[in-house]
Amino acid sequence: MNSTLIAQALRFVFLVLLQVLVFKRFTLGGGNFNYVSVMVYPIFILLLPLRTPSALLIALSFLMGITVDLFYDSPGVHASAGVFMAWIRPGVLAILEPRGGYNLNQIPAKRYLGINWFARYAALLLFGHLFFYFSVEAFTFVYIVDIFLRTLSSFVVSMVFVLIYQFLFDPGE
Amino acid sequence: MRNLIYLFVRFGGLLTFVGLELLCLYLVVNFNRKQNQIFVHSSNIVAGSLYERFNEVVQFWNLSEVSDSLAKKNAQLMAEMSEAKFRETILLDSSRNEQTQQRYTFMEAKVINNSINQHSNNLTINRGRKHGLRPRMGVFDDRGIVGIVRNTGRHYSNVMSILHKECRISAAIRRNNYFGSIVWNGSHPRYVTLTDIPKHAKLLVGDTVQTSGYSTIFPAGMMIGRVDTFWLEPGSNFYTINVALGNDLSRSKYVYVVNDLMREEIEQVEQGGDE
Repeated sequence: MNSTLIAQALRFVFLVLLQVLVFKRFTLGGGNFNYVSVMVYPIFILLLPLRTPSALLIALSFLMGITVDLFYDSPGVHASAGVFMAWIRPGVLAILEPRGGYNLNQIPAKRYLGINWFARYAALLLFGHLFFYFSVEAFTFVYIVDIFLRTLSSFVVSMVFVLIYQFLFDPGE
Repeated sequence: MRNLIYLFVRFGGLLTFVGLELLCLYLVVNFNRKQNQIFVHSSNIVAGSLYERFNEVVQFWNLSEVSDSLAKKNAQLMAEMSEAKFRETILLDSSRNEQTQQRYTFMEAKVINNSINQHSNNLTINRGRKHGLRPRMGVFDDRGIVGIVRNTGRHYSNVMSILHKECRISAAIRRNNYFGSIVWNGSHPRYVTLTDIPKHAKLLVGDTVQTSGYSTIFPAGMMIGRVDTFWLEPGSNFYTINVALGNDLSRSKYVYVVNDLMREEIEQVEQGGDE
């Protein structure tokens, strides 16, 4: 229990630093072509333990989002996307539930549920997160095509990094 | 308390979600310039359209008041027109001293009862003796003549419609000034009959029929309608002319009442009385 808490806290800090120190500068194309932003901090939300109560999950995601927002200078934008992602997480888990059900003491990661399962799980949530994020960022559906373009391009790149993270660290708790 | 906890366990996720999203929205709108501008702009649009709707409703309620005041203004303006004046032009030593004296005044009125489908149609208007109405005053609307005041009450008057079999109105062809009488044969509410035009008059379909001014009821030159068809009854020296009315009496809502200020004098003269 304690080790889980510490692991989560460390992951939190690590992902925030990774996001704001590395990936914040990372924009593909540059200039006016600002369609790719890499999001790695959603990994924190992805990897929270399965038994995390829904309210706590959402609150932690908010905390994560607002922390990233502090560095991005965009109060509320990342937070709202994080909150949205956390809110749909139980639904996504229910859709992807394996035949034997989940072991509630685990975290939903590659190590326990396999890379295929994790890729689908991460893809669904990350897409929801990014779409919500770019919608809030644009704050109007006038540029819906633009929102979709940004979502798709960022989704592809972010997904790559999320999977790389899984292979590099292979988180167990 | 127990229920409260149960409620939170049950809906905690949703409550947290909604609460935090609202908080996020608040943060987004308050601390991000772009989103703030969009938000302010959008809420302006929403608020603006709301006000506009509201104004439309208010305007709708005010509409009758506005129309009343417009009709009143119209009546005043009509009295200013030269047709409504009696011209006293005196030639003195080749200097022309033009003086006019008011002959007609007009009063706006609202139709509060109307019929068009009987043989003798009548209207009721919301003006009466109190407003200076007397029998035999002409009534017209913005497109043509409507009828003649028959009975006056204190606040309301009964108007004999031109669609009344006893109604006769002196009318003339505008192009050549042949004059006759407008009567109604009781068939179609958009057509009246012009009689007594002599058969040597040259008529064209589409000729404008107007009031002749040979009475104290209507001023001269008011539009009545257009010649639709005309024919000579066998053995008659006068045309029978179908006139399509310019106005639709089934829709007359605002009308004007003609007051001829020189009526008594004219009637006295015509009846051979002396001053």
